[in-house]
Amino acid sequence: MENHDINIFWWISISLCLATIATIVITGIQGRRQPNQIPKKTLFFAIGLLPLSVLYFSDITILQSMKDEQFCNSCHVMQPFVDGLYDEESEGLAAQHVQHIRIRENPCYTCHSDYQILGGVRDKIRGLRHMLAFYIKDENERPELYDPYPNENCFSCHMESSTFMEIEDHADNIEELMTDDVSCLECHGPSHPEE
Amino acid sequence: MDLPTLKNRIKKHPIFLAEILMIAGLLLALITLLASLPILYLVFFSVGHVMIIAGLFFYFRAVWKDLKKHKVL
Repeated sequence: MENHDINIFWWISISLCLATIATIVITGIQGRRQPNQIPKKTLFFAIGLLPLSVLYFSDITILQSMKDEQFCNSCHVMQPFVDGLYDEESEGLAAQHVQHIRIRENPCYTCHSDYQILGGVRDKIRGLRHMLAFYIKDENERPELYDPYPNENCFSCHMESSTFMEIEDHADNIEELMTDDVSCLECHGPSHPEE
Repeated sequence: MDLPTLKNRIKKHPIFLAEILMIAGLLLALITLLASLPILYLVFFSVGHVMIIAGLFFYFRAVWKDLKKHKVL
């Protein structure tokens, strides 16, 4: 989903929210004034149907905006990583990807999301855990990955490249690379500035 | 409004509880969308969703009881 799509969803969510609140309040007031003439159809629409559409659109909007690097940057422990992406002197792999426009948007999510079937869901749950940890724990430690960085995340883009297998080291070590016995970062790291 | 009056009102108009929960949940959604703060995302995903789903539950329960009362079901 592109960023302008998120804006459309944002506007739809806000409009639906306001419309639903207004309808509930109006039908509620009307119902109190004339208890025998409660507008049941309007009430069903306002309480039964509209809130579900609000949930749908607002969830999509919020979950999509959580992919943005500025969202990650809102936790102070992540600031060196996100700032490093735009540091022209940085030779980190992540900065090279962003500055040479290999990744056009959502760089954190693109590299750190799990590309398995339920990967996106797992990432969102992890994101919520990160937020909770940020507010509960008062730690300024450098965050670390749960597991070693999987090569699969690199392959999701680089495997499609026609030149990937033309590089001798890739062709020679393809089995080790596929099984994560050798990490891409061993040759191409560090991904972010060390400190 | 004191607590007994509120209880009485909820008993008399079961949809009132659904309305209150729904409005609270929707206001939370609105604030979350407008402010875009991570803490609000967390609150919306935990409390906001529960409020809206509870609102739906109380509304449909009231509708069900009403239909039973009028022997539609």
